[in-house]
Amino acid sequence: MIRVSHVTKFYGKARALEDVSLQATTPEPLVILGPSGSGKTTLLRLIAGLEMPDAGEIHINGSPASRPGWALPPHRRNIGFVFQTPALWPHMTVAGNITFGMNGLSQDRMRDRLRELLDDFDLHGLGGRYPDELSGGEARRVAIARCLAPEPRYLLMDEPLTNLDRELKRKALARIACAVRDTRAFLVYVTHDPDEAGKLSGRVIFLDAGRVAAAEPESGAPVP
Amino acid sequence: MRDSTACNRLAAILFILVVFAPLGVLFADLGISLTAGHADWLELMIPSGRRLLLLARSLGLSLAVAAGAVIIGVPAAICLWRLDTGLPARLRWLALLLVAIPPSIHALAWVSAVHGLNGFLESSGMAGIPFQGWGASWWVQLMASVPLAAGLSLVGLESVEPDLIDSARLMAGDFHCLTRVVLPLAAPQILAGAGFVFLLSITDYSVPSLFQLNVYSLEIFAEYSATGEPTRSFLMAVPLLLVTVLFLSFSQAALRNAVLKPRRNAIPFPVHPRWPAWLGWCLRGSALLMAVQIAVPLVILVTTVGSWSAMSGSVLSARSEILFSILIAASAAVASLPIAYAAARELLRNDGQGRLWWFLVTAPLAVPAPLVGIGLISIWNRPVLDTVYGSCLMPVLASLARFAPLAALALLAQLRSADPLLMDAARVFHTHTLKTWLRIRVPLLLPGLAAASFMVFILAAGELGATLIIAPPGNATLTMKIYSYLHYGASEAVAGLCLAVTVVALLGGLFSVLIVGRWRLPCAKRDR
Repeated sequence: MIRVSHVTKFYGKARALEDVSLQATTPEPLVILGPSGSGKTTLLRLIAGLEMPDAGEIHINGSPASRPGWALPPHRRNIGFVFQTPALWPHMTVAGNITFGMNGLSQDRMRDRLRELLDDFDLHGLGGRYPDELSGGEARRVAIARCLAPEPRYLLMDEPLTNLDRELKRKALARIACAVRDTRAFLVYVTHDPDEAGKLSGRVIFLDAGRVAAAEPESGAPVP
Repeated sequence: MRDSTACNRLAAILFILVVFAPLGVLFADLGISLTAGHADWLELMIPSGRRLLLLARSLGLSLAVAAGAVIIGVPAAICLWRLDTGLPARLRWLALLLVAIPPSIHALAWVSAVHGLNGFLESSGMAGIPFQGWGASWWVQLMASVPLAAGLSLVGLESVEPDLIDSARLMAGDFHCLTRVVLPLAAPQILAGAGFVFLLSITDYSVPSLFQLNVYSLEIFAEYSATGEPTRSFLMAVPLLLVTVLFLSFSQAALRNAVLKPRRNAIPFPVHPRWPAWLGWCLRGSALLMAVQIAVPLVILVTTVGSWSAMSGSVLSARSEILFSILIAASAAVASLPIAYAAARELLRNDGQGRLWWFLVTAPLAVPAPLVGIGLISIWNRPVLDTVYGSCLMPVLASLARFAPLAALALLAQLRSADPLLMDAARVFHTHTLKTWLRIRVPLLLPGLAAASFMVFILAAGELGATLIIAPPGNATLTMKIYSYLHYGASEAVAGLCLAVTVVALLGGLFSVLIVGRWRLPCAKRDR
């Protein structure tokens, strides 16, 4: 589970988040909706441990993960993250990008997992290509496959389907939903597109100007 | 539009003429000498005996300087890279501007520092440290070139997209992220830095000659002084040219397609990275060496000068040299901009011509400075052209030939970072060429123009290798005066001049950094 309690974050003098609290205790996707500049990306980065809160606490799986002045390193949080841009490492092939986070797996298991992901995301035959040899849609799919590769417990996706056409977006969303169902991972999905939010059929939280403006209650639990 | 393309082509041709004419004339002289029956001179191209040893010594010294500069420069750059936003973050670019302090000033400072240390050691009954020959040349060249290696490494680290670092941090430890993602992505610039340091070291004879170390580039200068034959000097320089061109093509190849983006307003590792303790010590050690690199010259020069009146006295006594240096450097800085801009535009091409231009811009960096001077003498030392030969235009031409390519690379970095859509918009709403230039292009290019002109100004002011050969009679630059003083040992006068040069270089650098930093404030910010 992820619990965000009264988190505030400033960038210099600009307030990005103010007293935000939310929790995700059930495996239904948590969709964060909000206009540009509402603090969606900051919230995901705080959960991932890429930023430190100025006030409040974040707990992951019942243990403290971040508080002012201290943060558990990102790679110890069992989190996968898809950024707004594919953010593929340009000096590594598609296979290199996907297998980067597969620590502690045998070579055979790594190869099998890679093949599985390439097949799942229609990337068959692209394993040897470099990011600059991929189309925009392919690069997005590689980014999602890379995020899923280490089989993280928590998936954070920051508008991962921006700039994809409607058909590609529909297919990619179906794959994400399928992957989440198979791995039973907690998904936190950020978007500014209500249609996309609806298709994920998850719990929606609306963020505006760094505050939670509205939130659907978690099934069986009240929103803090 | 067509007019603008034609102007650019014309300026690009001028760039080739200015930069390659000295070498081209030496090639032509070679042909003439061979047909005149001097075929036996060709033997000079193959170094043997003493010259082979000199070449090996020069190579060894330069490789050691380049390796040392990378070993200190990369960790120092990592320290600087991790500085937060604000004034310290902006001032870290001063590390690159410390290159502006000529190696001869470092030589003077370190000679004085070791002299003082030896006095203390001897009074304590211990043997002094010998500071001559290979070791002293290596140390002084290393200290002079560390800022260049650190600065280019910093450019490389800055060009790594923060999202690429963040995505690696989620999957692996911070040290793994540094070695597998950050350093490989910054490798082109780090390698380019090592290459530049190697080239500057192997083509420099001023520092080795101060420490009684004979090197190959000094041999070229000596050959010309002894025989007055440009062709013989050129042939003797061929092995050195081959080495430098080879090294250049290897070290700069990766730079061609490297991203040279300026910093986005994002801090790398906003949450403190956890690196192994030994790496922390390495980073602190390299930062300390960087501090020593600047502190030793400043402290030694200030204590040697002693008082403000002594410094002003030595500056006043060298006012004609100072004015001459400013005139040469300012002329070279201004004249280099249009031709360097034209070359930078050509470098943006992605076709075969772009690759050819990349060679044309980087190859001149491999030419030893004395050869540029000798080539210019061959061009202009003719009866009809002797008005130019005896004028201050000669050092300006030498500086242009040597440093316009570097200005082109600085402008290329700016052109690559400018959003092409802004340039396209300028074309769409184009009303008047001059207005478009003044209101759109120049503001967009201003940081690059400031950086390029400052770089040429400082390098031209400190140029010695070519200027020493071609300076018009009765005129000397400040660097020439310092160099000749240094042969007679350090004194208050030379320390005062060196301190003045250092302060001016640092103030100029600070001014440029503040301009560039202020101009970059409107850069894209991360979506929050």
